[in-house]
Amino acid sequence: MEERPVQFRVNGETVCGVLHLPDADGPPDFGFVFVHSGSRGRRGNTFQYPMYARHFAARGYPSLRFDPIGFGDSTGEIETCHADDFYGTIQRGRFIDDTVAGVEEFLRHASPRKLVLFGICGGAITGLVAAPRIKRRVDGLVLMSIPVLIDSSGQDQLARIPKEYARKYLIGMYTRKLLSLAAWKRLLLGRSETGTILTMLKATFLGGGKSSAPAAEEEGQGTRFNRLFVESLDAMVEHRSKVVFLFGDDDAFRWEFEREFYNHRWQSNPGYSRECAVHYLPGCNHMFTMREWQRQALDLIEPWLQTL
Amino acid sequence: MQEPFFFERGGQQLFAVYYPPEGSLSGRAYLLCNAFGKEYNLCLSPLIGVARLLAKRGHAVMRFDYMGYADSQGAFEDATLATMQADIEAAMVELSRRAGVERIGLIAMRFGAALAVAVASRDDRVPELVLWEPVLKPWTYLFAELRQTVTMQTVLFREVRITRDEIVSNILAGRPSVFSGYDFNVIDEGFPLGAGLIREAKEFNITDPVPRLAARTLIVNIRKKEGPVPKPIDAFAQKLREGGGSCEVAAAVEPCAYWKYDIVFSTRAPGVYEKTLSWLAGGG
Repeated sequence: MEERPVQFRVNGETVCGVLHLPDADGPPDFGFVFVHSGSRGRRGNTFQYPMYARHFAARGYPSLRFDPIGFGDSTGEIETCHADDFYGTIQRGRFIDDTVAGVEEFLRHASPRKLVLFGICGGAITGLVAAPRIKRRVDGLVLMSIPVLIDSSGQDQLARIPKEYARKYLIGMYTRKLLSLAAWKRLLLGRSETGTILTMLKATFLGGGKSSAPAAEEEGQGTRFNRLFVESLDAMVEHRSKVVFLFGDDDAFRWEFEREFYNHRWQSNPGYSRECAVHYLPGCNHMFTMREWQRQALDLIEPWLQTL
Repeated sequence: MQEPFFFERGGQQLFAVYYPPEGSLSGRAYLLCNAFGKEYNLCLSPLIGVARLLAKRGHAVMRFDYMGYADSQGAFEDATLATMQADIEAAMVELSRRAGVERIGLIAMRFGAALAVAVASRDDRVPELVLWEPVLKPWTYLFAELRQTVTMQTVLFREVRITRDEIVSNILAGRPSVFSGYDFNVIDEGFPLGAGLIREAKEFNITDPVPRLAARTLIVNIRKKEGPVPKPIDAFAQKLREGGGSCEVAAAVEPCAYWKYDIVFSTRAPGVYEKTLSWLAGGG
């Protein structure tokens, strides 16, 4: 098995990545392009992308991981800005070109029978919106913690916290502490995270519980729901590509996915239930940071691959 | 221009990127030493930014991933302070070979700064040492970071099942800290911890006594607002000077703390670069 650095050009910049090329006699069954989240590059939180890539390489499946333009080893610049505005640009497709070029580069080195894009958070939405623009058929998409809304520093920060998430967070973190003298002492001494507690309390009663998706359909602009999400998903479903959504049940994005998309759109398109699967990992956080969650994700992905 | 490659250290392939000097050659070379755990990803882009600026000024530069980190081979839990220092030393040899320069300056961030001080203290081929927001007491830092592992339990179980002290004790004894299928012998949300790192971090000491350094040293304190340099940094610099070393301290005001999840996203550290480049240029 070989791990080889690779560089390719995109829009005048040099994109840097690592290829994982297992020894093989013929074309591998599957090949993976790991789509960076934008802010963590080709490594992922707790270096999970190299772990997945090596896991697949041990099974004979090649892959490519690469940094986005302006991050890590790739050249270019990302303007300094509010993190939510940066995430908003990713959700609107900032890294589509990198991803399309990444797939082309990968296919210069490997010829898998089935091509899979794999991404977390920003990588998931980037993979989904890039997929319909890729010349070669994308057979499968692994989309972990995908955002369905568009972030912006201008929006009401309270409204972006789902009520369900705030309630779960408060119950999880503070129920037992109500009876703890030490916890009350910390609160009175100002050592508790009072800002977070107040925000979550407010969100529990005033937080985002209302779907912005119907408004998006009516108005088209000015709402937080990301129309690119549905447009791209519909395109992939129409092409009979398989999609697996994975969420941690401790992730606010899970509630947004359900509220903005699943609860009122899923039934409207039979293609969703035919081509897509949704899994929730108990206790798992937004970025799948623990090895246990990463293994659970692989346990779900491997049988799903056989459906491609 | 940049050249990504792997080099071998102790039977493992370590990932590195070499930035050849552009234009006229200065004859100087710098190795970048990154931070620990989750800070590694966050600090990477700001570090690479200085590599490109230095290369444009005619210096040879290299960055690398420690064994068990990012693109390098090995398991994270096997990385210890000793292996990370050995990685730095092997990377210095590799950079020296590529650049044709014997003396290698070290530019190090956070946890990497503590390692760089240790390496420089026993290697007089290090002429310059630049420490960005250094972690001076690795054990204190690691133990503080373990607080997040405790918080994760509150989210998962609504209670703390195992304390930081118990986690440390289990790691040192080679026992997992398993509750409901999760092994809490982890740090920074999920990086697995090994006994070697804990053992060595507890014994690691660069503050009392402060080692004698032949290298000229610059410490850059990174902050969001103007203000006095934190006392531990000032005291460390003072002790270095008392030991006969040359040490300056500079403060760089930046829009974010690069090693933390911040409300501002930035991949470059212009204030830090300005302090670093002007100090290096002043060294002749």
